[in-house]
Amino acid sequence: MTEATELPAIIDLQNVAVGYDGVDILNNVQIALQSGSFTFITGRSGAGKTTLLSMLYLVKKPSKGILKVFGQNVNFSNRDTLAEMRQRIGVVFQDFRLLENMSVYDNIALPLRVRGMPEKEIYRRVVELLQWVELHKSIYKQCSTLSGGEKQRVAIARAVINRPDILFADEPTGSVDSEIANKLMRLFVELNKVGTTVIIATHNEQLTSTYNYQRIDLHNGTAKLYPALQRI
Amino acid sequence: MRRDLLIGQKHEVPAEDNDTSIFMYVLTSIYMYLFVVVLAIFMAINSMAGNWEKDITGSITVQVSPIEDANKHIDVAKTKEQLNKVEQFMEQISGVEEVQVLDDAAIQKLMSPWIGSKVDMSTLPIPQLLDVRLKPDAELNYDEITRGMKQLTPNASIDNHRLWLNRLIKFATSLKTIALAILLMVVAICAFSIYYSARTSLNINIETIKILHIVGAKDKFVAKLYAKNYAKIGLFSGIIGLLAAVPCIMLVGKYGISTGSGLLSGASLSSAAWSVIMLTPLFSLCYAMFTSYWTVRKSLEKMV
Repeated sequence: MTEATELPAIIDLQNVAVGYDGVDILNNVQIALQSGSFTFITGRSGAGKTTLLSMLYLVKKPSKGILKVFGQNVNFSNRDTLAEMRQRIGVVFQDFRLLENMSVYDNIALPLRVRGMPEKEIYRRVVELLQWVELHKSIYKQCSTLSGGEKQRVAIARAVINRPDILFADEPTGSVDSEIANKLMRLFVELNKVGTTVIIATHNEQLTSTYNYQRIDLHNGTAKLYPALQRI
Repeated sequence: MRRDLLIGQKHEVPAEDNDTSIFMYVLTSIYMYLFVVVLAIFMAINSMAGNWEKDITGSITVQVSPIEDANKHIDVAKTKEQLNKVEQFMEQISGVEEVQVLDDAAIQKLMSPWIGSKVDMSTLPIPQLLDVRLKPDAELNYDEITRGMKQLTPNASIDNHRLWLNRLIKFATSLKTIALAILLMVVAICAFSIYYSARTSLNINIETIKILHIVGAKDKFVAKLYAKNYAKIGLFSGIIGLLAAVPCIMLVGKYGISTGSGLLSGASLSSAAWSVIMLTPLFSLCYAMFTSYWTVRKSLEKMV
């Protein structure tokens, strides 16, 4: 485990199983992630990284066991409570999942509008964030006209605009070159330093060896947490 | 701050200005046109039946057939004498408020649709009429009155309007029931259209909805976006339906009056009825808004 073991678990999986259509992909997952930790989820393609991630960002419910996020049992949370929990979570998808017919501004503003924030405050925050991801000149551009790298930065901006407690990223470096990948990782590290719990699903071994953080390895339907510095 | 940023929210759900929306504008406008027309018919029949009901309980007509002399000519003096006797008899009955003899001009006016207005009434064997106004809630024993009158003159008889007006009222009630059924049908079909249109739109925009959910949108947030769009459709369609229906209602009303029939003249729309009609766009707005809101909330529970 990491040195943050004394901190309260922000995510707690107790004998969790998860899958699709009654077939469990992962079984007996028993992992607790502390608040402020940085974790990689690794495993071969099809090992269940995306499935585990989608359960952790509360789109999917476990088929067995107990999943606690922010100390709340997800199994017994109603739809509104889950939505409120999701407002404290940011997700960066491999395929970005941007609303292509909307502007960069509208995409990034989405999580704040959902929370009912005044438009003036939304504008201030979006402009500030766009400068940070160096996209301020593209504020009015429609997302469909952006390059892959630009889309990724919009996706990251959307994920962090509401200053989430947990940031999930699914293969964030999968479709970018190594220079942009490193830049992205530095960005995630910066966010982690200010207290955001970061969880990244990746199959990029180079990434996990360069950045020495704990990781959950998925193998043969099981998940095991390996602390930083210690290797398999 | 740029205005296009402030209005950016309209892009959250691309449910407006697409084919589904245009279809809904057209469809709901037609429904609202039908709704307003049938509503007007319903209220007009209701008012007409109400007037007839009032007539039933408010008055009776006594008629005295003309008495003929030996030469088969009308004996005006004798008829007049019998009429006065019947008038006095009716006036002393408790429950009777006023008895009025209809003069030739009044009878001619009543008969004019059949015999025209240039006929010498005195030459025709037309009965003399007494319009008897009753006190409110008066309950008369018509059999007893008829017996009393027959003792005065066998030529007198009572028409208490009840029988034929009852038939008319039954007819009006069945028309009202049909109109109400049509109204309910239009409302139900409209609800189904909104339901399926909102469901279709949700299916088309499922990826957008999923993203909204991932960023923390509650079901009611998405439902409100849809409700806002459908409120616009409801209001616009309500206004279009109303604008199309009002001339039709006025035209039908005009034809109704031009028939000169006393029966149809009661089928007018009061100012209260017109107010109800004018409020239909507001009803349409609320109905579309709540139906879509409910549909989206229920659908989202199953979809995402």
